Amino acid sequence: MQLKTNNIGKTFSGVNVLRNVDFDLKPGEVHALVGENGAGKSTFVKILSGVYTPTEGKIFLDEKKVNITSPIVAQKNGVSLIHQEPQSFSHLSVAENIFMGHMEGNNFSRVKWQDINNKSNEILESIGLKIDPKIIMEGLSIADQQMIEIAGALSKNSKVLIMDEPTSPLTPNEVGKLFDIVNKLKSNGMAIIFISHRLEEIRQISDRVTIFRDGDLITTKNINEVSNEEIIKFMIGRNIEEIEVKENQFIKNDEYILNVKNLSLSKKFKDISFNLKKGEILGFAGLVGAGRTEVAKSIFGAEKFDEGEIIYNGESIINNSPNEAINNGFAYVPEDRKQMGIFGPVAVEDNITSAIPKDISNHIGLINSKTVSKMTNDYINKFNIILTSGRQLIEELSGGNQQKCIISKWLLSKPKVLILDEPTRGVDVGVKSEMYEIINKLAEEGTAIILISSELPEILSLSHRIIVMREGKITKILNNKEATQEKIMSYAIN
Amino acid sequence: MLKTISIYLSENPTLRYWIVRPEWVAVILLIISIISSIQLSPFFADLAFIMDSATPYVEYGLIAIILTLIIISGEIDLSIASMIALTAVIFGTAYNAGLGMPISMLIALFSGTLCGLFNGILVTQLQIPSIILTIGTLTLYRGIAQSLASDFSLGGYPSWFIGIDYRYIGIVPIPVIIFTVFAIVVGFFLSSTIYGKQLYLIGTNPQTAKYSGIKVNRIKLLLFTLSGLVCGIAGVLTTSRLAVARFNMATGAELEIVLMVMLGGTYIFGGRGNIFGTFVAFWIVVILRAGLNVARIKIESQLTILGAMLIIAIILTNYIYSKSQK
Repeated sequence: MQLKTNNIGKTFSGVNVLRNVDFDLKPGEVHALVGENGAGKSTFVKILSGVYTPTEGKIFLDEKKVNITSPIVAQKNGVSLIHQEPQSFSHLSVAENIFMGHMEGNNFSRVKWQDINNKSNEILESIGLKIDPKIIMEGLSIADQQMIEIAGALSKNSKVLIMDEPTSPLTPNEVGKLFDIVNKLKSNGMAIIFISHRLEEIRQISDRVTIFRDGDLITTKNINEVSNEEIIKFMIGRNIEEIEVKENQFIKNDEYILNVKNLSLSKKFKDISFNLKKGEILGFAGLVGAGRTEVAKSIFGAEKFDEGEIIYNGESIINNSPNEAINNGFAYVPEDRKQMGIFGPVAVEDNITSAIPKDISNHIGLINSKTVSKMTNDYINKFNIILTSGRQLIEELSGGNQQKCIISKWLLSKPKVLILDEPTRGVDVGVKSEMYEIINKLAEEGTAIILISSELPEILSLSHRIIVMREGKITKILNNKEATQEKIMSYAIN
Repeated sequence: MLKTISIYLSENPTLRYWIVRPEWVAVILLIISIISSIQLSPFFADLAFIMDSATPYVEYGLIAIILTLIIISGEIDLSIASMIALTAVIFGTAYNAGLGMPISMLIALFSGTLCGLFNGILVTQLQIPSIILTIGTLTLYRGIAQSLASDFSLGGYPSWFIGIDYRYIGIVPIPVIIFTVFAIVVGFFLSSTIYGKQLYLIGTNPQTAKYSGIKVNRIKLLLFTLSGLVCGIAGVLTTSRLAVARFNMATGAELEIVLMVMLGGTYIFGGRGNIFGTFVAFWIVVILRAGLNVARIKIESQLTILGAMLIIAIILTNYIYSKSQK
């Protein structure tokens, strides 16, 4: 075995993100890792490449136990990580990038440029790449930069190459080129770990596949012995009976409040069309990077869009800024709570009333602090927000209570269309179920809700309909009766 | 002991809100400087003397008030001193071209507004960090002033215009009254209106502010423009006080004005601070400068002492904010 792990586990501040991973990798093998976001595969390869140190377990390279304490140690032991987005020094030459960190100098520590350029040339030729090692990195395509990162790994005599979603930034043509190189390396005896969400590619390039789920290594199979459906089943694997599928209840009000037609933004999303009724919860499922957040931001006016039309209450509108969107009756609870959701070192009451300046001040702008406290206290009681007083700084609250404050803030603006982007991320189970109650109640009261979530059970239990996105496009719109985790995953993946 | 206090305070946010405030540092520094000045010279017990010492700093004080708003909103304007010089020189040039006093004043204020607007447009539209952009316009505006006036002193104003610092209401010089009224009005605006509140929110987290529907760019543009206008007013006031306008007026004043704002406890990264602190810091600078003069400490050495104070103020402000942030 080139690489073997025994009982690897990792705990972050008390949370077990990886458990008992027994994994092995043969020389001359391409071994694919798959799993949902947060399944543990990234944590695992970060442990192998020295970014994280494991909380428990052993790693063996060439049957010898090693302690990989840093990326440098990993590289010295012949393990190299190829990043999804190439990590290059764009103002340095190709050769410098290849030999970054292990350039040889002469007796006066002057870099032996001739040597390095020649060696770079050799390595590039060995993988069939025609690039002058003296040119500057900047201006090369992502694909070429990735190849150069691979060349860098070769220059360190790596025996194990870990590729973290290498194909996601590449065009189909470039993927073909990459696979040629991978096959060449493989025939030279390189052991390769290959992470991808695209099952077709995995089928094409790898010998074995290992599936992760919720921090556990579920199984390892030969790729010929397992079907795509089986892989997806292993990836999801939850006890499906646990999830209470929402009754496809009759939505009384049958009028469409929002009609999105062919919305496109270059490189982000394309041809997004859907409609939304009053009182409907429309789930947006997909992997991270599928373009769901970008669509939401464009509708909310925080980003522009290139083409398409948004029809709201029967009229075509464009929200040029969040300000316009809010005035039109939109609200957006962002995914990144800390960066876009809260004003950290600011009192809770000022956070909660930050989107409704006109409701808390008179015609010359004087703030009515009684109104502010009253509104705040109403929601503190209504949502059971745990704090000492409305004057407490919001950053001192727990994540769940912060999220309740943000929801309160947006409900005060009385939205007609409420966009929730990962509303329960980083929120504990108790608050989660309270949040679900709030969301359901809002819908019953007639608010149209767009729910973006990466948690399939959440999407399934809350949504009336589910839109699945992949790589910037809608791949399927499912009714909640027909939707299952397997179906959603299969549309989200390939 | 300290720990019990800090726990007690974190359980009483309202109390903490009033106690853990950096402007108390400024108040303490003010008391210290008054006491030590009185030791130096009995003049300092005389309010009239202190008022008179304040007049040369009023122009800086006015700008410091506006700069407080800009820094709270997370930006900075370093071109302020150059705008004083440029508007003064434009005022002098216009008057000497025979345009008459009222029109010359209007032109000065208008050109200041335009300079500020230019800063604001570049900062908000091109998303250039204001610290870099206004270092650029600092040089540019001073350069324009120099090309307009060369090394000449533009004078010849009517006597009613000259010497605003020698006009009093009671024992209070008119510039000090202007400064105090301005501080009260802006202080009220900042603490009690929704626009003031939004400045704090923008400075705390511009992203969240944008997503909350606050018109971040428009508000910043307005602030920079206002800064230009107030610099125009300061330019005219300075010309009245000195009786001439020169391109090198108020050289280096931007740092003294930033000092007033920071000494007053306004957080350089935005989101916190208030006018009361800046107002107190203004008087610290006045008393310190006067006291150092009385003690016959050379102007050159005075800068060392002011610099040391600024560093102390920054350290204390940061310490207090890190505590209140827990």
